[in-house]
Amino acid sequence: MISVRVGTATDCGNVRRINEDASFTSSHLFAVADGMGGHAAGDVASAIAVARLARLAQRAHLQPGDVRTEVTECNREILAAAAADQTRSGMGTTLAGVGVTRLGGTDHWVVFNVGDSRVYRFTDGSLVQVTVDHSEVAELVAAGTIRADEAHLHPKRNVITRVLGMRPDPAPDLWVFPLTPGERFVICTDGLSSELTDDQIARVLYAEPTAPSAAQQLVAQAVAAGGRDNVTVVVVDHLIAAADGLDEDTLQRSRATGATA
Amino acid sequence: MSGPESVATRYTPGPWVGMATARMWLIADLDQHDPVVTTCWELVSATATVDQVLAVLSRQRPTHVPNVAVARRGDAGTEIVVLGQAQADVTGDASAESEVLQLRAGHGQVADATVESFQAISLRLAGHAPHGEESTVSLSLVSGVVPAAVITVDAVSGTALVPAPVATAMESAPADPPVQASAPAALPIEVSYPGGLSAAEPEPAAGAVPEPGPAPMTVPESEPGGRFDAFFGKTVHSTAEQAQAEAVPDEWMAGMRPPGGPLPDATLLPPHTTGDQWQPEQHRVVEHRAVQTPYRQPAPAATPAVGADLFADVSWADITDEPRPSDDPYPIHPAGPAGVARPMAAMPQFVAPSAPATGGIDPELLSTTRRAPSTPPPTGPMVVTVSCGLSHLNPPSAMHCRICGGAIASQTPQSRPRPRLGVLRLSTGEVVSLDRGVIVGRAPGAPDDFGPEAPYRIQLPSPDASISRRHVEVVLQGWTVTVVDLQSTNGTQLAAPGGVAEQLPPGGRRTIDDGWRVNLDAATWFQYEVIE
Ligand SMILES: [Zn+2]
Repeated sequence: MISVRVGTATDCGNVRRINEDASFTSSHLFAVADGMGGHAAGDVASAIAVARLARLAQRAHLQPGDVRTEVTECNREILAAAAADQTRSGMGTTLAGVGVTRLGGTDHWVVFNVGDSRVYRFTDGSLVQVTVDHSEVAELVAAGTIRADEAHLHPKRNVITRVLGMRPDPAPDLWVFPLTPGERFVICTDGLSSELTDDQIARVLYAEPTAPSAAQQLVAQAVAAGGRDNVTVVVVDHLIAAADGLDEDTLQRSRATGATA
Repeated sequence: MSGPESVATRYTPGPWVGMATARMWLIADLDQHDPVVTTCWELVSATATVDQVLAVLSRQRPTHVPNVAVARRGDAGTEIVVLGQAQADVTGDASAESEVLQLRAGHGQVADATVESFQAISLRLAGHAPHGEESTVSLSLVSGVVPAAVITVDAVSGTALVPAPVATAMESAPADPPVQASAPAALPIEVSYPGGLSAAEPEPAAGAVPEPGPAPMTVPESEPGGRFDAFFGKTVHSTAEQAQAEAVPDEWMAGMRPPGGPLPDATLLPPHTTGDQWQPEQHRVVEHRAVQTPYRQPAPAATPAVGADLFADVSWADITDEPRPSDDPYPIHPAGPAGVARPMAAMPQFVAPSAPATGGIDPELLSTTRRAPSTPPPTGPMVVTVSCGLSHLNPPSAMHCRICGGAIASQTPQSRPRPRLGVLRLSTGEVVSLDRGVIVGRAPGAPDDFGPEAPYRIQLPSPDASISRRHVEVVLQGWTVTVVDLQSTNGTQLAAPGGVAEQLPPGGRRTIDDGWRVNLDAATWFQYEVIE
């Protein structure tokens, strides 16, 4: 069993009247959802998404394919809810998160996203964005049309290309990798990433010792920087446990087993 | 003015654009961001004629006439017109409340009626649930533009409404058109003009079947040529008086003048000549913005869309059954955020909806209406594909489907996002999806950089540490699955199904196929399986 400490913070921001973000945390699954659709339907969509994740979190052994399946089911549930109530027509939500999945008898992280909510990984003082935004500007950067440092100013930076609540079912992108004790994850809606640069985020993560204080400080700074959108942050600290011996050198099979290779 | 002394407008929030004043109501399936919304509202708020409104909606975007239901109170009664997939239900006055006039048209068609009086009119777009099956929320609206599913107008007899704060344009509105000859109608009745978009020649409008009846409503006899044909490029006969009466006031039509010429009286009326000189591009050019992608809230510096101006100005309410408590945790910022569009000078002031609405300006009204793209954009690598009868994607060289084994007919290959190429089944029982590459080892760790195609990193137990930290990689290239030994200490073994195991030397690579098994040590392996 892994040892984590989690902090969550959210703020409506200075402009929006309704907080359409939602978040979910358990012992081994953590996520945010950024609802959209106006008409106060966005919070319905994001609530459906996190309710789906709560169901997923009850599985004994989460598999990456389970995340994929649950995302598809979630998409259909949102579409059905939108079809059942015209005032919710067109509602949708992003979803981004981190879960613990067991592969080869070993715990791994599975990071997933649909839309422009993000997962960052912070280790040894350096911040790396794990997810790739499903946004037009991210695709332009990927295609080399614009540089990454121009993306912040691009007029299409707010156009997202994948969302739960669309047809056909959008696939989540997944990343799977083993745990590294001491790493810290930031899961956030774009209310954080559109207000703070990666460098600003990294400074907060470096300065704040605990997950709750880091989450609160990130949200506070995003609001202070403008708070033009709802902002929600989940910080997950994977606490350092006893040495696990993974860093031993690989042994020659002859040495390891006494047999000839 | 005949008909009810006063009316109360309510609307059910929804995806369409609804407009209301004390004298005119409209619902249309416009994109809320479309600049034509502004033009349309200018006309509605000035109580322009129905023809003028429909002309704007049809001419500005000749390739796509929206579906519209519109009603307008005039001296001669209330005129109701539906265009396309729209519907209007008109309930008679209190003495004949059960009688309903239902107007429906059809794709590219127009239906209209004029009633002397009414108890209620509801305007909606076809194909949507009747009122009882959709949201029960009904919000009061005096005047303005709202995202709506249904617009309902109720007669309020003997009760003075709050004066509608409509702009002075209303007072300068053109006179109402001449009264049409009308006949009593049996109810219910459907009236339909066949003047579709593709109708090429004028013909007498059919469908109006006036019959004697007790109802207090009247339906005008159809006119020769069809008064709506002009919207669809047909010549229409109209009287000079009509043209004069319905001439478009300069103040709100200036933007629609063709270059280099005065505005003829009948600009937006059926002209006496063919409408050929009125090419759409001669009018104010209004781009139709595609709604293929969902939109985020515009940044403060961004110039808001014209349509957003309108909506940002409109009162809005939450779609909740309960009014928001006064200790609203998300208080409205009265000054309006920097990024919110300011009301246009020409716009009237809007009145907040009454209960159950809580009123206030919701800046996220439009900005959070982010519509999903019709198809997901391609992500990840593209491959050239052919399809089996069950639409499984296959390499262009395939004779039989890799998933179902079905024959693949001769066809033109198409470039598509690569489907997953199958799974790796681990010796420990789990499966790893091959939608991207995989690095397997005793301690592969996390990548330094991720990115859209970062391989999965799978850690397999190796109590004797005979497996290297990063031992072997499965690389996807097009349709090909290749095993690459990552300079492992002890090398990699692989075997085709039923075949003899072969040793992959450190750094060696080998393309594998369905059923191949790859061993990292004697007890630790994964198998490639082609499944959907
Ligand atoms: Zn097939």
